Parts: sequence; structure tokens; C-alpha cells
Amino acid sequence: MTLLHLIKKEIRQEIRAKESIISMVVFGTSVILLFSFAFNATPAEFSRFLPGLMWMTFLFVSVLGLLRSFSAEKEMDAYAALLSSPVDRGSIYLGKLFAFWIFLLFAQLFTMPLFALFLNLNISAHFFTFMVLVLVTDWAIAAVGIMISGMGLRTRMGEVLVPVLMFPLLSPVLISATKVTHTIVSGSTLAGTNFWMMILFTFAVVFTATGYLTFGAISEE
Amino acid sequence: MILSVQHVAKSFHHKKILKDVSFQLSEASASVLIGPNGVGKTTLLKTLAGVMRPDSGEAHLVSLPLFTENFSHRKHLIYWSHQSLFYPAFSGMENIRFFLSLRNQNIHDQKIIEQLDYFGLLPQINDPVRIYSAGMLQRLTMIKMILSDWKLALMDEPTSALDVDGLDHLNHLMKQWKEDGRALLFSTHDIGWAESWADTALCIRNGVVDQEIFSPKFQDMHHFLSEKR
Repeated sequence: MTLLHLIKKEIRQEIRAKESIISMVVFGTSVILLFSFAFNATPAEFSRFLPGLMWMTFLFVSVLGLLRSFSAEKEMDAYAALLSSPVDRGSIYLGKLFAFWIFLLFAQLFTMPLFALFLNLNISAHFFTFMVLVLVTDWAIAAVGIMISGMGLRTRMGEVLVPVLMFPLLSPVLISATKVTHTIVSGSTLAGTNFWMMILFTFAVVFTATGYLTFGAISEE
Repeated sequence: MILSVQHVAKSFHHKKILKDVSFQLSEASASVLIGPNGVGKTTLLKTLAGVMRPDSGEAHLVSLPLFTENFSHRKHLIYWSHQSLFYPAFSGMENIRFFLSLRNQNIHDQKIIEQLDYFGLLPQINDPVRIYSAGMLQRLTMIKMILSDWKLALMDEPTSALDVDGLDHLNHLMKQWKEDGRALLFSTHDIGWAESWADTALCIRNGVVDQEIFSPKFQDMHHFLSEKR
């Protein structure tokens, strides 16, 4: 029940402040337009590096959102009120994780069609697999990102900490997502993607559990 | 006994702020933390509130251990910081509703509206608290305290930014809370106000409770603070 209140609070806050999603969508759109004008490549050539470009874009988009994810807690130190409430820290983490996952998916809902429009992203051959891939990869990005953002909440260099720690930690996720996306875009058989999907699922589960169990120690002063 | 604190220590950047703090609070009592700036009053309140983790030591709230991963019995305490502790994009009403929901308290909106009206915040009912003045935020904190169930209040500089009317409200509440059998632990630099309410002054110096003054008078507290200088 408390978790539901925490998720509702995050979503209502975003609806009010409109800080994360708008900046994520605008940034993603700009990057896609830049890519489409910067590269003079044929559709066949594009399909080779499009998966990498796409996930790199979403990684940067997520950093932008994560930098805002704790800003409302800091402004009037509402986070202190959360910590002094009878709420376990794991629920605070899960609330933020779930809400950020929704925000990231929402931002992708707007930017993904632009990838199709400007950079010839074609997922029609394996649409369902692509959806599962996006859901799991976003969850993994959110699980790691919220944990690191929480870590940065009580440190002076918190905003620098997010990209510095997040990029190396998420490299297995990015590599796996890129490999699977490449198979999907090329329209070939999915038989070889099981290994990469397993990595993604494992990463998502392990970091969700780690964040849930350690968020108190991470985010308290 | 509502709160028992034993040997609490807390350091920042290898500097020990609290070295060995021990004291006890009983029901229907008010205790003031006094000491010069930087002595660790806010650190102690934040540590007891759960905002900070102690390096060592124990505390029991209504006989239940406070520094554990079981947070459910934190419902017995409430924290009033010198910062306002609200979500800036939410209205006062939404903030109160949210924090009560975290305490598993479902209070009818009408009750919140009545309190907002009593404290003169009804015209701002739909405004985000970001645009509230410091005094208005303090009044909102009082509403949160009134509508919440608690046995111990940890209050950091509760009189700051309050006008005469706001201070009257706070004085009325302090009296009410003591009569209800609740315990109050507060810090303030206004030792005149502290004299009106405190049954005990916990004088902090060098990271420990150096002295406990019962029924403290202005002169006693002033003497302690002057000694430090």
C-alpha cells in the first residue's frame, strides 16, 4: 500500500512539474534529428550501427531524467521527511524505480517512432521480442540509475556521480540490448539472442534486489 | 520512558560531532537541546529521526530499538526540521495527505481543510508550497503535526520564521501536546522560549551531554552558553 502511495506521488509530481519527461523527449528528438542529418548512409548501412546509436541515445536520455529524479526531494529536503516516516527504504527505492521506468517508457513512446521515421528502424519482423527487450532493458537502466542517483543524493558531487558510475555499470546491458536489437532489425532468426536476453534479465533482477536491500545505507547521511 | 538514547556517536569526514550521547525522555515532558552552533544538535535530531545513521550507539523508542531495519515503529515519532520537508510542486493539502498516507493514516479531506482554515492557509489551498513563505510553511508543519499520531516529536528550531500569531499557535500546541502525555525534544537558540516549555535542558558540549538542567531557567542556560564562549 505504501509502495502504491510512493509511486503515485512520483507520477503526480512529474505531472505537476513536467521536469523529466519533457526534457527527455526534447533531448531524444534533438539527438535523433542530429544523427539523421549527420550521417549520410544508406538504409543497409544504417541498420549496422542503428542499434548502438539507439541505445546510446536512450542511455543519455535516461541520465537526463535521473538527474531530475531526486530534485524534488532536495529542494525542501522532503527526503528527510520520507526517511523519518515509518517507510522501509526498499519501498522508497522501488517507488522511484517503477516511476522512472514508466517515465523512460513514456519518453520512448515519443522518440521511438522518430527512429523509424528518420533512421529506418524496422522492428516489424520481431515486434513482440522488441517490446520485451525494451521493457527489460529500461528496467535494468532504471534499477542501476535510481540506485546511483540515491547514492548521489547526500554527496556534493551527486550529479557527476550519475554518468560516471552509470555508464561503466550499464555497459553489459547496453551491449546485450544492442546485440538483440541488431538481430531484430536485420530480421534474422532469434535463436542466438537467448544468451543476451538472459544477461539482461539477470542484470535487472540482481540490481533491483541490490537496490532494494541497500538503499537505506546508500541514501541516508 | 518514551525514548532512551545510549552512547550515540556520529562523525562527518573523520570529525566526531557526537562522541557519546546518552539521555532519556519520559512521557509528557519537554526537553531542549542547547549548545553553540556546530555542536551537533541538528545531527542528533536527524540521527534519532532516521535521516542519518549513527556510527555507534543505541536508542529505544517506546522500548523498541530505533536504529534497525524495521521502520514500522517510527510511526511513534515525528520530525520537524528547520527545513520545511515538503514537496514543492504539491499543494499544502496534497503534502499533508501524502505524509499521512505514509503513516497509514486516512484522514478525511474535510479535517485537513478545517486545519488549513484555522491556520489561515485556506486561500492557498491549491497553490504549490513552493510559493509559500517560510512562516506559512511552518504553519503547514504544525498542521502535519496536529493530524499525525505520534508520541515523540523531534523539533529543530520550531520557532524560526514564525510571526507572533504563529508563535501563539505553537505555544498553544506545545501545551496541548504535553497535556496529552507526548514527549517533545527540541532545539532552539531562543532560550527565553525554551524556559517556558522545557522541563529539562540537555546541554551539549564536546560531543556529549555535558550537563542536564532540570526546570531550566534563562540564566542557567545563558550561563552554560556563555561558558562555551
